[in-house]
Amino acid sequence: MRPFISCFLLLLLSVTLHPVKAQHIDFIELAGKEQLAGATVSTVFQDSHGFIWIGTNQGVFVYDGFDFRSVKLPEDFANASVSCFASDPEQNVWIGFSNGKISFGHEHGFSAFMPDEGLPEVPITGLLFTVDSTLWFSTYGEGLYLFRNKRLYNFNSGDGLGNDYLYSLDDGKNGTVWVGSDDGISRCGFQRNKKLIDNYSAKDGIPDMIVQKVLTAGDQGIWVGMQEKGMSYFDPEKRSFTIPYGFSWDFGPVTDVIDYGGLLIIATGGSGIVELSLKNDGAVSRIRNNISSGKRVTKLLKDKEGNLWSVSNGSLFFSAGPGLRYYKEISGQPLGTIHAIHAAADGTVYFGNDKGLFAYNTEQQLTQLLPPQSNDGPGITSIFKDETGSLWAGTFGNGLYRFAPGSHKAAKVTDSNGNLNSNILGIAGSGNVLWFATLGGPAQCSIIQDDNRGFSFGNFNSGSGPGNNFIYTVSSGSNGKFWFGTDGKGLVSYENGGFTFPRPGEAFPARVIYSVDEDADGNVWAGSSGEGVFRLHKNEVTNFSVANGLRTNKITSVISAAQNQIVVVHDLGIDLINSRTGQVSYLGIKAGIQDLNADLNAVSADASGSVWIGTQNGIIQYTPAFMNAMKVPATTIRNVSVFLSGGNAKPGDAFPHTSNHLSFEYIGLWYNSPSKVTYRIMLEGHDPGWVPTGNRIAVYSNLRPGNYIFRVQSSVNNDFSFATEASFPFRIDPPFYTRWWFIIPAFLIMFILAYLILRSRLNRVKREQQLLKEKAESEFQLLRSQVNPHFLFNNFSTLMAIIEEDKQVAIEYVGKLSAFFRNILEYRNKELIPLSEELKVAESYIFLQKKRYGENLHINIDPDEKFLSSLIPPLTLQLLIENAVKHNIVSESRPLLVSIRSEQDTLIVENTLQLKKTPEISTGMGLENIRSRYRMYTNREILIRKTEKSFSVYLPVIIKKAEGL
Amino acid sequence: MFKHCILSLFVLLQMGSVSAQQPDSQTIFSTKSGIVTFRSDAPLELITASSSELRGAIDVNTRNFTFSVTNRSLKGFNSPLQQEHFYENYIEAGSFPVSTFKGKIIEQTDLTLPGNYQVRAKGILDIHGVTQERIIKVNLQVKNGQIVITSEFLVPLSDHNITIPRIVYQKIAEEIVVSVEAVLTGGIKK
Repeated sequence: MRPFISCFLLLLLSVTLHPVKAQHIDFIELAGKEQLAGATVSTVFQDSHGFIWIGTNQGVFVYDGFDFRSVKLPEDFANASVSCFASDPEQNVWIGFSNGKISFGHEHGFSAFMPDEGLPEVPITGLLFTVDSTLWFSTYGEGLYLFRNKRLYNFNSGDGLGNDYLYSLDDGKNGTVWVGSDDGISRCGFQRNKKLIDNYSAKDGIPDMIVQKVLTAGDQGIWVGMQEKGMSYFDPEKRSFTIPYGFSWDFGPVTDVIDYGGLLIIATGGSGIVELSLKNDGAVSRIRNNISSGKRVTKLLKDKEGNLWSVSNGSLFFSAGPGLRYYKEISGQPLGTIHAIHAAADGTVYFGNDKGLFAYNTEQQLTQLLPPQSNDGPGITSIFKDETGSLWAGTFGNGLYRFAPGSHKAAKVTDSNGNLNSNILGIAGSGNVLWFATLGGPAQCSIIQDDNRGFSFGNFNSGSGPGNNFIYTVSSGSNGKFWFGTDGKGLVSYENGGFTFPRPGEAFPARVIYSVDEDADGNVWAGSSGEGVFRLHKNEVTNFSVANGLRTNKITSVISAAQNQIVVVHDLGIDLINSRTGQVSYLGIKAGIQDLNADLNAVSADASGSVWIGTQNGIIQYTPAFMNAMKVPATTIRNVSVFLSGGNAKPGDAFPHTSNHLSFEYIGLWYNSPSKVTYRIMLEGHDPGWVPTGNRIAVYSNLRPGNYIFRVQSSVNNDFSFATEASFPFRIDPPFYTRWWFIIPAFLIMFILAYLILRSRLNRVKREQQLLKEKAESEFQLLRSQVNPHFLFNNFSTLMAIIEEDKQVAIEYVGKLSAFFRNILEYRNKELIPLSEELKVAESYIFLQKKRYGENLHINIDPDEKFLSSLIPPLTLQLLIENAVKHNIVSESRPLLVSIRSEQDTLIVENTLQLKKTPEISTGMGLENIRSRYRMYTNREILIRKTEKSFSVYLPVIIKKAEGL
Repeated sequence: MFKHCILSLFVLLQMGSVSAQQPDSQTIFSTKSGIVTFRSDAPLELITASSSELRGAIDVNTRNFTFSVTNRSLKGFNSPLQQEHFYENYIEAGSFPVSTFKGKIIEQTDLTLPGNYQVRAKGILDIHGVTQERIIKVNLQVKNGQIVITSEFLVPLSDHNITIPRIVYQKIAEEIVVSVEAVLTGGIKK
């Protein structure tokens, strides 16, 4: 018997491990030559911000979910083929090329990596940064290089490396790397300038020497992707290679591998993508193969959301990854609308569609259990496998079927007491108690093992319970409770032998509950027909609706899944609620999970953590562990430019006040559905609060000087409480004339200037006053001197003598005397008079003096003709002549000679110097007076030159009255 | 001097072993009079010294090479005293009479064909008794049965445990520029 069983098992195993084409990951072609300007995709990479970088044979493109932007590379790189990417701790992206060159930078600019030692001449096959900021790169032909402390080192066969032709590179932890080559795998390290190289190859039993891909597994081991023999696992401690499956690999060379944790996704060079599901012991439990992204797949990428990207035949493909599988057909049979689904503990998935009831087991075999149940109704509406192994199938109008454990033969179950309605919408069980949700209220069935009939039905459509209402669903909860979704009384529970309402005496907020499930924390989740989802926590009800981000309030099904997720199914697609935080997200929009029109409660969770969802077009299997479905968009500020110049400003920059027109380009990266992302932005220092927007660019103009922080958050559902934020602080400098270092000195200078002006003005006023005073004084002096008694006495004496001698002369004399006084009176108030007039005035004075002194006084007046029109302060000449006569001896033996002449631009009044023995009392006012009067009209000073024989006064000629004023 | 002899012998043996691998010893090109120049460009002083006694050989078949220069053959400097300091204090020619660089050319260039090649020589640079693995860019001109090599590279003093007293810190550069020019002859003589 035993050998027979093992033979059977072996047979089963071989069947199991035969790969089938079904339920594959659905890839869509995202970018080919059309989108990428004729370029052929060679590799794909996600940077630390979340952007997808696409390497081609004609440069590099960046994808943000919307556009493929070509990135400018240094000139000699433009036509080189990209072979690999890496990102460094400073968030630079590094690019390796097939011509041996390496470049690094970011979206806005790249530089060539140029170590002194030079770069390889052969393709770069891998780039990697290890923890100690060491750059490693593998080459196809020159072995491995590492760059550390600005020095490049090489590991090649001369150093003991197994082979110089390396295909792949991965981090081996502790500063080491693994490489795969034409001669097995090698671990390389470089410590204290010593090369550590361990080769593992034929002697260690490697199944295939040519290793195209090495991938460090989570547990220190290495996944080895080989040319012919597929995958093997290398355990460094045991130095052993193990192939985890028991058949011979015929998928072609392994080109890339991604470890989804218990699931290896393998890119092959001939058979598309192969999936190996791993059991805990590392053995393969299931193989899937699909070529939906082509047969020759060269590169795979798992992004931060868990999406799977692939490069195949020069194009880029996208999928939601193994977390979402869409079964539209099984074994060539279209599934159509799924009315009920149940994932049993043994991994078998039972489902009912228009063709009947089917079982789909882990061996991927489909078995029909029941024929179609009705031509116009939904047919199978509920499926449940109880703890004893019995399978129950409820129908719409056709009653209940039961399959005994292990049997594929259906037995119709009827209750002679009529307690069971023939429309069974839901079945739940716990222990030996089953509950049915029917259009005739809740029905209970106790399984009595001893009884022949085995079952005892009871109906609870009494007034104490949910009454005669339709019951849409039943779900078993903790502590032996059962939860019912009713039509009219909302959520009802059955416990301790009676029905209760969640909030005694209070109606449930929604009257129609289609779907109920209790999560691992004991929260009960209920989906309503039009009010969204309700969470019942103890007696507290919380509503999740469109306001919280759900796409609709008409909920078809709710079911709790792994990772605290509540899966909410509705006509538009599948929403997810984090049962602990309340965060809402959406599942697989880009992958095509929308417009589901699913039947009520066609959902089931299996033991492995997957949720199975029946739709109008087949079954969706959602495995939270393989996705990061709750990941919020990664917000990043992509570019900041001043005056749309395209320049790339850096955070913390200060801009001049003239550069106050800034635009910010930002994005919330979410490849699930890029267009679903909305934003809110705020310019701190400008906006009073958040501004919601759908744009991915914000422009601010005429910003006033000051400190600002541009902040942006992105969300998929307008709920920003879980959003990531990017910010950009900057400053607009005030204009220089408002800066303290300008204002203070400028103010000081102005102050000083004002002070100087004021002072000079004050001085001038003072001087004018002085001059005025002097003028008045001189006038007074003049008047006084002219009417001084001595002068009058002298003149009268002279006149007396003349009267005696010659009457005619006397008359003339008196005439001159009076003319003299008239002149004084006339000119006293004038400022300047022409020289010719002044000479006339002087003449009358001279006449008087001549009469007195006769020939003893010689006065010679001979100025240049051209000066006759020049100006002179009145009575100046008279005063000077008077001074000469006053201070000098005028006698026959020593006649006084006074000459008035001009020389260049001066008028000279000169007299012979023969001072009286007893000097006349002199106030000295006369000359000083002249001097100060001249100062009023000209810059030139009068000059007084005194020699032994002569006394001369040089008067500057004033041409115009304006001069000096 | 004795050590020097040993080292030269070693160099020759090295070549011998090369030729042992490749019986066709006519693939070896060698020189005894290559020129190597040291240049220290410090803020306060420029020092240059050169030797025309660079000995070396390249096996064009295996692309292995070895070069050595006797440290005391370096002449030049700005004063005889400086030269003596160099010999005694820095390079310590008494203990380490020879500086060598030996290894293998990375590129798989066929050096029997005439032409100009820029290659990378990967090898062990031994100066002052301290070895460093280096990759050095070299220009090779293969013409008329000769290989003309030219190269220039930096040698940081710290790489080779050559310490500079504080007082002359401004007079000696931290990185010495070494340039090499040599004409290697030999090869196929039939």
